[in-house]
Amino acid sequence: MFTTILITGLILGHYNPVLSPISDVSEKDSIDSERQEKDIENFPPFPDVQDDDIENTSIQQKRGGILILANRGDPPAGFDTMRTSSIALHHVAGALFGPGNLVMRCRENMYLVCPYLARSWFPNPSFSEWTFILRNDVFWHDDTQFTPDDVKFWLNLAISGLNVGDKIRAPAYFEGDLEEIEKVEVLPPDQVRITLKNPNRFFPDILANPRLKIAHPRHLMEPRMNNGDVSISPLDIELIGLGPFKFKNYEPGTIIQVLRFENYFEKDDRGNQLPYLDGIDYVIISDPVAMDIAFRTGRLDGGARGFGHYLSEERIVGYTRDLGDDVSFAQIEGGTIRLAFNVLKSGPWQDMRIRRAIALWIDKESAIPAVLGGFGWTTPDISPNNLFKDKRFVIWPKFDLEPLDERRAKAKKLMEEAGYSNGFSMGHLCRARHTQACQFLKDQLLGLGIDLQLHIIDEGEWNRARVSLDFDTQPGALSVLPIPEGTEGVYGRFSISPDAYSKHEDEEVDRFYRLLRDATTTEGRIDIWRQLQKYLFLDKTYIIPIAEATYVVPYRTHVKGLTIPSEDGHTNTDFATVWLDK
Amino acid sequence: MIGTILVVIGMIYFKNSFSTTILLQKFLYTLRTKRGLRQLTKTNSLIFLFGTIAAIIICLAIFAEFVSPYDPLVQDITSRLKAPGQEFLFGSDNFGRDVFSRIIHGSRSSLYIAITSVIAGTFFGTIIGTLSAYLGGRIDLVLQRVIDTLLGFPSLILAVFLVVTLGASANTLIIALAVSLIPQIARLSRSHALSIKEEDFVIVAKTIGAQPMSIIFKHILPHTFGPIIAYAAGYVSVAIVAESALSFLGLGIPPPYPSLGGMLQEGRLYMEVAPWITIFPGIILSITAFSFALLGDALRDIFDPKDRFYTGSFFPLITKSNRKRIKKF
Amino acid sequence: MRQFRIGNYLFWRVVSLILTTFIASVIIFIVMRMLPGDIVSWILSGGGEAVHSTEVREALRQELGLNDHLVVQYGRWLWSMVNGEFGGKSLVNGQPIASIVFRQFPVTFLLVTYAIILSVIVSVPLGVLAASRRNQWQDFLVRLITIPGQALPNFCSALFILLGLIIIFRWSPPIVYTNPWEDLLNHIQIILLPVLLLTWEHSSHIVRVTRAYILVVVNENYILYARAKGLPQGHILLRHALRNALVPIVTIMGLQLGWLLSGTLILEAIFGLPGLGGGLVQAALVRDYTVVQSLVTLLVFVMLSVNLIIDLIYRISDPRISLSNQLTHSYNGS
Repeated sequence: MFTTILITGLILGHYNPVLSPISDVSEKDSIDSERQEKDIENFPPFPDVQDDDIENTSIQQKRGGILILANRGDPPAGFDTMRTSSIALHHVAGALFGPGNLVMRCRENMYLVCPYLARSWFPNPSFSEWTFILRNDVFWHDDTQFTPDDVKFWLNLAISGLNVGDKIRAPAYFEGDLEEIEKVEVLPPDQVRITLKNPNRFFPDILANPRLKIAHPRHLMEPRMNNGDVSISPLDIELIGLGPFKFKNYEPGTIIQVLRFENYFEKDDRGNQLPYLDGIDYVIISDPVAMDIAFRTGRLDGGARGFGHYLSEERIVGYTRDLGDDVSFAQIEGGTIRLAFNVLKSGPWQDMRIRRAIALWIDKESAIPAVLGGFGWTTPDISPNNLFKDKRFVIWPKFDLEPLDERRAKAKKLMEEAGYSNGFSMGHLCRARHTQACQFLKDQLLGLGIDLQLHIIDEGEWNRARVSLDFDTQPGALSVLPIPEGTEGVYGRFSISPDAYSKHEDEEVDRFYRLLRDATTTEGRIDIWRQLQKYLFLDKTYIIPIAEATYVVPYRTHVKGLTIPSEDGHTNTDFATVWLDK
Repeated sequence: MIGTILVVIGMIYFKNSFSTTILLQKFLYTLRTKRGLRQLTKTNSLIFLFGTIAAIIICLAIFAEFVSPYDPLVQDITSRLKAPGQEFLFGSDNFGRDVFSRIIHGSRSSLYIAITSVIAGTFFGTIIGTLSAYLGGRIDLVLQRVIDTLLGFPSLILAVFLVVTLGASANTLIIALAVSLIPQIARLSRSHALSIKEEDFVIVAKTIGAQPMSIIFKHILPHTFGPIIAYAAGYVSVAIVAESALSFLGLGIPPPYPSLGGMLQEGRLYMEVAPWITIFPGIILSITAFSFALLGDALRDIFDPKDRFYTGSFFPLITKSNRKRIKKF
Repeated sequence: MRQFRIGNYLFWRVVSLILTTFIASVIIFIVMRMLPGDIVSWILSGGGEAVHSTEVREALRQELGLNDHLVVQYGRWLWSMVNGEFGGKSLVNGQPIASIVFRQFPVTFLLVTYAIILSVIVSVPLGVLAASRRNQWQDFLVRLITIPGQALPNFCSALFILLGLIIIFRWSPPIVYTNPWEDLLNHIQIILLPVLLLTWEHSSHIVRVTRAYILVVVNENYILYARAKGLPQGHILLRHALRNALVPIVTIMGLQLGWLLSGTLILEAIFGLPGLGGGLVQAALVRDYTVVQSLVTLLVFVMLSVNLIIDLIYRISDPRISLSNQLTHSYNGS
């Protein structure tokens, strides 16, 4: 089955310039192999890495068994994927609603787009209309057939919400991503045509975001919504979805149980129906140490996802000591910790030299053991296997090349030049859940005489605070954005996107994003993206990326067939290919 | 800051009042006379020991800056997670900060919060309770209902609530713990004041025409103060534990400032490789809570021997006179 | 005559109970609305990760009814408390609060009940023992156990015990909570440790008080009289001394309920029990207005009711205490 996907991908790649092979990047890496080796050195050595053996077709997968996983908390908002992107939901939602919608990120290479509910798609010559041909063997968990009308209902609900009488249902939180959609048409019997406001060559990439999951069956929700029950959530209709597992039981605060869906459409390459497992039990454990204890005494097959639950070097010691060879660790590239400046608020940091000085002064390497649990690396923004990752960023354009002492001497000089050799006081918005990073920054900046005042905010206030202009600096969110087009919301101008990490009104950044949208080739995109990064992180230093975390999730070695994406823990949480070897 | 204000108010009050002499007399009796000391050390040797420990802890806390070898906030990532030894007495934590220094500073903030909140709670509680008893009538009923409302809140939940409302800081914790204490002290002082109100000397004072305020301060309060101090002294240890519990849940003093409960919470993540980050704060916390509990017992014995039986001290004073009677049983 | 006075007293106490709960709920409502923070943003951004627009936020606010006048919101909540819905739905999860309460309440209730029952079973005999063998080795042993029980922070002990269990026995409590009627063995395994810790702390208070009261009571005249009559020691202890000491002991137990609930808060967090305490803290941290309101009001109501019942028992059983609305002397233990 997977070879078919690959072949389909390649065929479509011929048609769609996005799906170019990865060899593109590796050619350009020949420039400085020494630096590249150092890069690999920086990547910490690892006790055990699990390769997914999907392609190893000689192994006979065993059917049956219940997989027991930890979940970070209760899925919020009634399991509604349009209301929240919390990993507590998406760890479970993958099994219930599938790894994607019409399309998904390919299991072997998440930077490629693979068919899921649609078996193929094609654009019109100007890339302003995309037609998706749906599969005809997809069923909801109550055995109703999945039709193109379901797609139209879901997309319209996400983009514009619903008005019934005086009751309003808000659109999805990700409607900004789908804003480009002007119209959705159904072409019977099995096609959907999506018309965009502006041409976009890479529209399937945007659709393939694993957070866009269809959890809203039209045949169950539409009648109730038209009756006035607009706030209906998936939990109200027993979590009927399209994924490999169907809902069995939910005890809030304790456990979520799902069972194999016998009518699931995906098959493995031998024609056996997926999934292999009989079911999955997600045990809700909100305390990471409690999860460690449970795993190490054999009560769990896999760890939870979510920052805080991912393992650190120190916690792994306990795992290897108690379980030895029975445990393996999956690595996923994760979010970045950074320092972002609010240059719209008056203060010494409005001077670019001061921001540059701070960037040079911070000892980024030491953030990895202290804040990221020992797993991570210093990087501008994106993870190593990402198409858009420039492994040579450390050479070009000279990002942290010199040793720490020299950088710090330069930083001191810059501070003097700007007239602040005695330092100053600067505020920092600190999230209660991640005070490690704030403590680290506070101490680092002491050397320059900067007194970083921490405003510690808990979750309720975090979302209001980070979009306001009240704070001098902030860390930004921990999200992972694998494609550059998705970053305008966080790097763009404040008046366009108040959620931006750094508050600025620099129109150069606008220009870069326009160029990005108009790019015609992959090389072009990569080139523009690199220039944008140089501008943001080096020339203007609006944001100082400190280090990117590597998320580590433990799994028992008897759990086979895991698809571990190279980045973004929300990807491929369906566990359809997983089987238990015991 | 609230603490200093309260201490000043307390001192002013004490200076004016009759009760000072009585309290001081009792206290000095125990320390000055041979008999007092003998009683103290003989039957309460354990209390004496822990009382000394408590006193040592208080001194260490007050002089924290001089005693701690390192600055508790300065990080040194190259020496993170080092075992206890020459360089770091109790080892170093995830950021390379000295655990011993952090424990000393943490104890200081715990003690500050505990003692200040007890003083504040006692102060306001006494006022409310005594006034309520003296004035009687409708005011009494209303105040009683209010006190009952507050008594209905389990103290930690009330504290969680207040911390979430007002933000986590030392002052908030003081308010939260004081508010838990006020209704208890109020009820206690009210009941004692009610019984004293019926005494002869109060009635005489009223007949003479003394001002209500002076009656309260000169006659009623001095007699109620004994049991109140006894109760409040016992509450200090409870306050210490409550403050660490709140820090443990993440609702205490925000990082990077050290607090014992906070260190316990942080240390759990490094149990495998650096157990000293959790063990030492835990031991010190236990010893501190313990010592202050027993110190509270000792103070109760000094200030309110009668109450000793009702509240169940473990070390009742055995004087020559009552020894014979008790032995028979 | 006395029955009438009891009835009268009871009536007014119940009235004041309801009034107090009402006032408490209003206070909580106002306080929660004053809190900084925006729950709508929290829901939409999945805990701070995703970006979303202001229109979406506003639409959701409207949908959840947060834009109505405060009085209207309070009225809506009050009505739903009374008609059984217990406050409507959680703002974060969308779960009906009634189901949250019914699910969490048994856990906390069982935990507290086990602790109280065990405490009584353990501490009254221990107290009597310590009193009767005063200053001998039994007394010292009891003191040795109970003094740490009162003073040591229970979460501290919990941490070390859990650690010890893992290192020495490679065992941890089960991770999925079950009620006793679902899976008894699992239930016992998961609830044993927190119950023991709570009992240790709670019974320490009671042993202390029991011992002290018995020591007081034995000096009373009627004991001397009984002894003069020639009644055996044990008979005196049980029939006379203990019976009279029992009422203050029960009073103290009732007053301790507040401490007990506070203790369950932390232990539920450490042991991962899905009870009211843990749920309340979680809801408060994410500003889930409706859940916090309902839970705290419920707790207040329960606390006050228990206090009322105990007070009533106290007054009925001891005719010396007047039935006026004033507390003349309360045996406040520490």
